[in-house]
Parts: sequence; structure tokens; C-alpha cells
Amino acid sequence: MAIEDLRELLAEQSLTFLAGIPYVYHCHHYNLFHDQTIDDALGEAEGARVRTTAAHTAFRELLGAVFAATGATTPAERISLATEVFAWMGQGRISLDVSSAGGRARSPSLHYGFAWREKYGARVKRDEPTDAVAAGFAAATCELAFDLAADAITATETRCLATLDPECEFALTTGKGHLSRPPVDEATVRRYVIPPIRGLDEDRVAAIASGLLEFMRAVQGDERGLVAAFNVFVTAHLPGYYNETVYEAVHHIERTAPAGVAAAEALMREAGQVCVFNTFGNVLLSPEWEGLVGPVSGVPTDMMSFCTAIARGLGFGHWLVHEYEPRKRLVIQAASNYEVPFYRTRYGVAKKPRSYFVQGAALAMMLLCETVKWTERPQLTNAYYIDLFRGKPRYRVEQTRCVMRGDNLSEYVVDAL
Amino acid sequence: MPAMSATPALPEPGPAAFRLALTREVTCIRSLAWRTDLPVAIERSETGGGDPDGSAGGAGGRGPPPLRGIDWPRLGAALEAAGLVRRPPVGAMQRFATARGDELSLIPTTGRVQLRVHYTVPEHERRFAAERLFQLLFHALRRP
Amino acid sequence: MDRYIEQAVAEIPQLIGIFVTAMPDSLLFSSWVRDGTSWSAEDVAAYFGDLVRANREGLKALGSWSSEMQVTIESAESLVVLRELSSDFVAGCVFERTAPLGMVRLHLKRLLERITHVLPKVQPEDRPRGLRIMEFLDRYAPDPHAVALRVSLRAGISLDDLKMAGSLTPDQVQRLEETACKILGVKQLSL
Repeated sequence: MAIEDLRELLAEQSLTFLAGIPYVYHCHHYNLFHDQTIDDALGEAEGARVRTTAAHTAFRELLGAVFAATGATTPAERISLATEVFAWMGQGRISLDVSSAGGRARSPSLHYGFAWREKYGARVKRDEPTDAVAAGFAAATCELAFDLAADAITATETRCLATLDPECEFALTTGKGHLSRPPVDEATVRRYVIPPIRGLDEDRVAAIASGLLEFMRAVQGDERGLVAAFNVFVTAHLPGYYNETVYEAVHHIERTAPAGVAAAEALMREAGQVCVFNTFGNVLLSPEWEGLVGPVSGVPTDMMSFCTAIARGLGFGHWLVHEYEPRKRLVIQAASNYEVPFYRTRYGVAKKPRSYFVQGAALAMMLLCETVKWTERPQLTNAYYIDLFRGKPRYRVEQTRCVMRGDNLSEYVVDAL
Repeated sequence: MPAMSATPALPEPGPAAFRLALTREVTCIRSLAWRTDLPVAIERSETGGGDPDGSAGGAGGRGPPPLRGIDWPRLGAALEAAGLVRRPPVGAMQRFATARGDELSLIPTTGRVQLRVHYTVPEHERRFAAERLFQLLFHALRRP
Repeated sequence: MDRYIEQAVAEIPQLIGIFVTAMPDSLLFSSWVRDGTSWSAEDVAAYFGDLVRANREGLKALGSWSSEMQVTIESAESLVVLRELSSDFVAGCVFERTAPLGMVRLHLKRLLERITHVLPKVQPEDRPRGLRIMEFLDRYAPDPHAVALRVSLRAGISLDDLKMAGSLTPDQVQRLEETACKILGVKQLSL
């Protein structure tokens, strides 16, 4: 069975699944900023541990489901299929030389290491490896290939492109094993979505989102297992990874350094801004968009519809514009998003709104739609990002409703200051 | 961003007299994507002269040019004849790739052309790789 | 000073910009750029200042530093010449790439002599280290838009305290410096 055939779409909620496990698309800017924020919150060693564990858990869920769906049973068959799935996702091409006692893995082209070197390599020297996602993947693959218990294998990256090694290498050793957690699969996700609501300009948003979802179906890793699309490196990624790392980090800060919670939450919102600025912005200015939808008009109400369609097209869930008054107020609602099912399954009902990613994204959508001169072909550089988001704040965002908290809907209100 | 100069004008008559400039495209990955714009409304001439760097005057340099439209199917065929491989279109966008993975994306409805250098090309060589793609496009436009 | 520079550069057609940087903090003192150029003078001046400082330290380490040293950079699109005017000022001149080097040197000598004449004598202020570290991070951190939040989280210094980086306690400055080194991937800061 081809990997593409394992995809499913919950169309009315704009949620995508691979073998019944949710996946979304994020670009390298978001991925790198996300991981950096986890390390800022936890420090390098603990950050790497939490990221590797999250990837390990998330890929165990995915690969277990993929092997079940395809009937892959032998170790060789499973390892081969796993590495193909990893490359298909745009995470890189990795080779594993493993037995039931562990072994090693290596890759000349992993998304995180390659993109980190491309984005930051000329600016900053890095001492720690970047590829916790690949480490978690390698450990999960090895376990499942040999029918081992969860966490029977531990993977550590020993060499990395980002630290200027010629390729990435991982050592896989036996671990302690622990009880596996319940997977967040399609059935779980369906428990935490509400019937879709029509937003402003719904027909156009739905049509564009549908076209984008169709386009994304054809996006897959090249011979190096990387995806260069929309002028960024794109990955199909597991919400379980993002969610576990974010919420473990925030909970840790809440327990150990409550004074730092505001900064941690602000950085997690900022990750949403980084995503909208880079991914949404590059999509809007790409020839692919021009081919699919036409040149952007720059009219704020159009741009808001386009941004909402992009969110749906990337599998972020059924976002909708409930209210929009340019330069004054924006109300985004979400009948589904990729954060809620994980949080409710893993932690129960939250005490406060916690969709940090969408909070930041909503604020960025307001700014991007109103400030950027889209028809003048702006360069989406770091300097431009700073111009837009730094300095005196023009808007504030508040999440007024959150399904994680038990509300019947998630809602994000952006108001002019 | 200033326009870059490109290949010199070819001596033989070509499809149209218009200015082609290679500029850096909006991109997050350094120097990977480049852009030029082909005239949409202009019609192709039997006598006009190509001029990718504008050195011969470009549009308006010789009075109102007797032009006719870009023949997009013919341009696509010329790119294929030059060794590029046609890839599945994305809506109105037509895509052509070199063996290395560099890509030319054409949008006939707007005239936009994106020249995307493969990400494995080292950063300092990307500009030259883009110029080679640009030359390829230019020669395809001039192909009878 | 800006007006004086404009007069001085009028006779050099291939000059694109000139930046005078006040040391040791690499702050823009004065600049001129050709119309149609969209550079951030503050950023360019700061980077040029840091570059000259790094060059000076490198040459000192080699035992070959002299106050007459000049840095010439031939990039794909421009020719950049950096020169220490005095212990307090650095000048960076950006020429079109096609400008002949001999002509550049000739123009530069005259231009810098005239500028040096009108530079003030300064008494460098000993600015607080915390402030200088934050400014350094602004210039070199990989995501400058998020650097205050990152520092706050990593160093355990509140955002309010970081806004007054000149008033940090010695312990906070030490944590700030360690965090800055970590963010930049360096063992020590070249301030």
C-alpha cells in the first residue's frame, strides 16, 4: 500500500490523518523556533530529553498505526516502511542499522539539522544537536521493528549537521521501558471537535482550503527526504510532538519557576506569529498560490479569508472568521484545532485557555492583513518581521473561549490598542 | 531590490521586444528563488528583438513595439526541447525542472516566472545557477 | 556632521554610502547613503564597528596591529573599506563594485582626512555592561525579535528588569552574560 493511500481527510474539520493519526504541515521557521523555545524553557539537556521523548511517543503512535494498516510484520519490512514514511513527511532520509538491542542510525539530510544550518549556520555556532525528532523516530522504529515495549530503546544524536558534522548520527541503546500512553488518534480527535460553523466569506474560504488540501496531497519528500515548497522547507508533522513538548515545558515552568510563565507563554504565542509570517506569508506570495488562486489583492478582508483558508489547508482545523473590522477587531473561532484533543486526553480540563499557537497566529493574521503591502512584493525578511512585531504593540490578543478549558468552542479576539 | 543584468541580447530577430530582468524573489531561504515577469498583454512580433538586460532599449526603446502574445505552449515545448522535464501543473502554474532539480514555474495568466535553484546548491553559487536558468528561459523564448 | 559628510562625498560618484561609528559601543555617529538605498544605517554602523574591533583584536593577537590598518572587503556587489579614524571613531565606506581600487584609495584618503578634522573629541562614557550585552544580543542573536523573552526565560530575569538593563544587579548581569554566550554559541562576548 502506498503511503499516500494511508491519508484520510476529515474534510468538514480540515483535519488530516495518516493511518488514523493526525498530522499537520509546518515550515522550518516554525519548527526551529518551537524547538528553541522548548530549550529556552527547560535548558538544553532537559529540552532535548523532552523533545526526544515526545517524538518517540508520537512516532510510536504513527508507525504502529502504519504497520497495522499495511500489514508490515518483519523487522526489515517495518524499518524500510518507517524510513519511507519519514522521508515522505519531509523529515529527511535516514538509514538504520539496528537489532533488538539497538544499533545506530545516520542521515546526511534531516529537516531540522539541514534547515538550522541554512537559517542560522552563518550567524551562530551551535554545540548541541538539533534532531530530537529523528532520534525519537529512530527509537520508535527500532522498538516496533522488533516488537519491543515502549521506551525499550533510547536514541541519542551524537553528530549533527547543525554542529558542522558532515552528517547526523544516532546511537541506539536499550532503555528502561515504560507504560505507553493512549494514542491520540482520529477517534479521539472526533470527540473534541464541534460541528463546523460557517464563518465570514465561508464559501470562498472553503473552496480555497479545499484546493490547498488537494495541492498538499501531492507534497512529499524528495530523494533526500526534504520538501522545499512555498520558498520554505515544509514538513508533515505530528501534533503529538508539538503538543507534548509545549505543554510539558509550560507545566514544568509553572511548577518550578512561576515567574517565567508569562515569558514562556509569550514565546509560544510568538511561535504562532513566526508560523503565520513565514508560512502563510510565503504561501500567499508564492507562484503556487498565484497558480491556484491568483495574485493577492492586498485588500484586508480578502487577505483574512486567504489566511483562514491556508490554516485549514495546512490541516490546522476548522478556523473561521467570526467577526472582522479592519484595524479594530478580529474574532477567530475554531471548531477544531490540533492542540485540544491532545491536551484533554493527556491532562484533562485546563484551568485557563492554552491554545498558544492559535493565539499568536490570530494576532499575526491581523497585522499581516492590514500592514503588509502585499501587491508590492514585500521581502519577508527577519528585519521586516521585527518591523511588524516589535516596538509599540498595536493589537492585543485574548483567548476568550477554549475547548481545553471545557468551553464549547475556541475563540480568539484581537483588539486594537 | 535592484534588478540584475542578465544575458546579452541575441543578434537574430526574436519573438518580442520587451525588457526581462532577473530579480530576487520573496524567499526565506537565501538566494534560492528568483523572478522575472513576461508580458501578458503584449503580442508576439515577426520582427521584434529580444533584450533580456534592456541594453538595446527594451520596451519603449524603439518606439511602440509591434508585439504579439507569449506563446505559452510553444515556450513550454521549447523548455522541454532544452532538456527540462515538465512536472504536474499547480492550477494555472506550469512547472519545468532540470536534472539537478532547479525549477522554472510559469504562470501564463499573470506572466510571472519563478526560477528556483535547488537547495543543495551552495549559497554563493545560487545566483549563478539562477542566471543559467534565466538564460535557458531566454533562449527558449527566442526559439523559432 | 551629516551635512559636512554630504558635501565631502559629492565629488565621489561611485560612493554608495559612508558610516561613521562611535566606539567602543559601535553606535552610529553619522552617515550618508545614496538616494534609493534602503539600508539601516544604525545596523550597518554597528556591524562595521564590531568588525573593526574583531580585526584589531585579531591583529593584536598576531602582534601586527597598527593604528593605520584598513579592512577592504570585495563582495559580489560592493567594495567596502573600513578604517579606524581615531580610537573613538571608525569609518566604513561602501563603493560600487566596479570602482577601481586605486581610485577608491585616493578618494578615501581625502575624504577621511576631511571627516577626521570635524570629528569631536570624546570622553567615552562607561556604559553599564547589562545595557551593552542587550544591545549586542539585539545585533547578533538569531531571533532578535524574541531575544528579551528568551533571556528572561533562560536567565530568570523579569522582562521589566531587562527593560532597565542598565540597572541590573551584578548577579543578574552575570546570568545575562552567560545566557547571551549560550544564545550566541560563544565562550565570551566581545564587547
